Amino acid sequence: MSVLTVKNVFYRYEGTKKNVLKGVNASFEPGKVHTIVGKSGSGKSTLLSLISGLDVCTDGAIMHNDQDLKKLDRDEYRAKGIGVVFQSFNLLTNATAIENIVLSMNINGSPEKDKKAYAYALLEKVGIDRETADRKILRLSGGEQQRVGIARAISHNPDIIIADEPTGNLDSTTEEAILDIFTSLAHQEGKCVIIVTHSKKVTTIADVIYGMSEGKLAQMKQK
Amino acid sequence: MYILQNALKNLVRNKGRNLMIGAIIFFIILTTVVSLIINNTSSAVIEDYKERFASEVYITPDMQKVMEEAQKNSSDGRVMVKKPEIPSEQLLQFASSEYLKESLATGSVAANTSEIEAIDQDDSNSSGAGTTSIVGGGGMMKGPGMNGNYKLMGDSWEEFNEGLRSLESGRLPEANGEAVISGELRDRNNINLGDAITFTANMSVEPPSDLNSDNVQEGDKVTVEGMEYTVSLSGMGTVRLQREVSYPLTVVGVYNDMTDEYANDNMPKSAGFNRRNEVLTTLDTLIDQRQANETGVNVNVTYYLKSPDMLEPFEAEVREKGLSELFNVNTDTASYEKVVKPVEGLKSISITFMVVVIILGSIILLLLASISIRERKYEIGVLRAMGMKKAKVALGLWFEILTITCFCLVIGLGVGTVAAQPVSDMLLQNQAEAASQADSGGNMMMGPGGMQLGGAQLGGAQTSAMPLSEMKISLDLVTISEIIAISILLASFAGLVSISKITKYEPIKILMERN
Repeated sequence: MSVLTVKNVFYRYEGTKKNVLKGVNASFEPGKVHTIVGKSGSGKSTLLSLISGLDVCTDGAIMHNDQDLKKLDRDEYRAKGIGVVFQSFNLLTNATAIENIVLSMNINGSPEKDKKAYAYALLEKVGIDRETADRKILRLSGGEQQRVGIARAISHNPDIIIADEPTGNLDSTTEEAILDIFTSLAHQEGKCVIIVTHSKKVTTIADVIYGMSEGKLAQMKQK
Repeated sequence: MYILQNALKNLVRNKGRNLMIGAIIFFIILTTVVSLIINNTSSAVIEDYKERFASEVYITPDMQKVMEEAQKNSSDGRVMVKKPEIPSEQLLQFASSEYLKESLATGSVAANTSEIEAIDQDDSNSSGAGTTSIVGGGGMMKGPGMNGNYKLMGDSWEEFNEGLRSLESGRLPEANGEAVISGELRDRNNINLGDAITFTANMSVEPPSDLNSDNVQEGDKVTVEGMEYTVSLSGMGTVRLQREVSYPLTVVGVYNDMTDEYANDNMPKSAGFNRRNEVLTTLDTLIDQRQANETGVNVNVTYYLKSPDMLEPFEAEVREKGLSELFNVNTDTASYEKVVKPVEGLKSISITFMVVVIILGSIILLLLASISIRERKYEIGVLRAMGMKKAKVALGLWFEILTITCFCLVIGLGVGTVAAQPVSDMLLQNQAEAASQADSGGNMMMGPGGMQLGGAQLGGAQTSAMPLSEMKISLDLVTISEIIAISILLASFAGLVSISKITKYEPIKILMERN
């Protein structure tokens, strides 16, 4: 039973005639780690921006729990339906780690009464201690920032976690730790994890691997 | 709530940028505060002076027309300028106008009595109470009621209000036939409250046209409209008809006069000019004794318009009621202009300054806000990517600029209020100097504040009003409201321009740009 289905999606950038995505079909299920691999410029990140509600497909449909994203409030979808982990973290750099998490919880309307305590707990879960949590983002390492990014992505307990090259800027030790978090989120908490990556190491944790080439997606492996 | 909290945190997170924006907003607010305080105080002062000068109506003879009239009527080449007078009945009639806020009628009669002795008694006055000569353009004319040892004053209570006179004993007249006298007059004549004194005065009537110096002699008796008059002839042969009236007055009070006995040191020491010989009674007491066609009671009515712009309809009304074309109806615009000109200059400077600063300040603020928003595009992209709606992002930005504005507003109001007084003093002084230079440079201010004749004033006297050189600056609620409104508008303007710019971008584009 898929939580997110991509149905014959086409996409071309404004002012251009060439389709970047050419009839992409995919199905993403809960409790599994999905990876999308492919060369640079193959259309991976474009597909990711469409399924994370940051952009709209030119043709076709992306269904979230059988509802077309085009008909949904995309702000609401981004705030509550999914959690996105960006390659370049995209955190508020002049705020502290804890402030980033609490603000995200406020935006997505988290019902938690003590948001700060919950945010500390979340950060601890991804390996950020209290002292680090109170530091400004600019004073954190790349690995720590990515952990904060993951904590932010799961702060509102979404069904789907989407990650764009989450380990692209990290050393191998940190990469392993981050991948453990994703695996745990999928296998223990039943989340649907979708990771776009170049890294072979990342594909080792994948339950489903999709290959992207010249705007077309093909399933390469299913555990 | 979290949007406000985040906005407040952002203010601290971006100190440098916000300090720069704050400095610009503070400068604009400070200038606006100073300008608006000066402008509003100036407006209040101008309105006040407008009420004071431009509402008081002066009915003055047009001397040019009087001369032309006299020349037209001259048959033998000799020009006899006759004092133009408005009948007191007419003056009182003018007072009943819907355009008037109020009118103050007073009167005076030169009188004599043999029962008591006046201060600086002049026995030459006693023989012919109420006659005097005024040199006119080429001739002599005699006027009634201009001489005598005493002056009976009707309803002349203004000096009590001004504190120049006060009641020493007894009370003010409450009925016709009652009077108050000066303490000096009481002491000289041992007058007690309740004593009665009878004064006499002369009333005159216009001689019939067939009466001239060829068919009457000095001392002849002539009857006009049922009243008998005695003929008197001037040196130039002008016939004058006069009769004596009595004013039996009961002393009900004694006043104390704080001023000098004579209006100035150059005046001859004559009882008729001595203020201590003024006997105060009601106006009705004075005019009850004279006939409608008679002159002799010098009635003066001051009219106050409801609004300065009602002068024109009021003039039309009094013309309809019979006011001669020989008289001008105007307000004291000369004094108003002279006093208020520096304030108007100050007001104009402050407004111009404020407008320039607001325009320039807004442009700078706009540029600064645009630069600041460009810097914050990434932050906004992140917030939008997290699912924050455009409206909430905009609200957060507006809260930020509004908080800075509020902070600057509080400081600006304080500093501006303190700074407004010295700035106003300096500007007003410059304006007053400029006004006095223009004045001494040949622009003689002509106003109607001159000699009074028969209830009207002769125009063409130089105004004695001094330009305003000091103005007490104050901050009122209206000014505070205006400043708050301008500040909020300014903040909203800066916020809206930035917001409209940023919301055109989709989060993906902002983040892609950054990445």
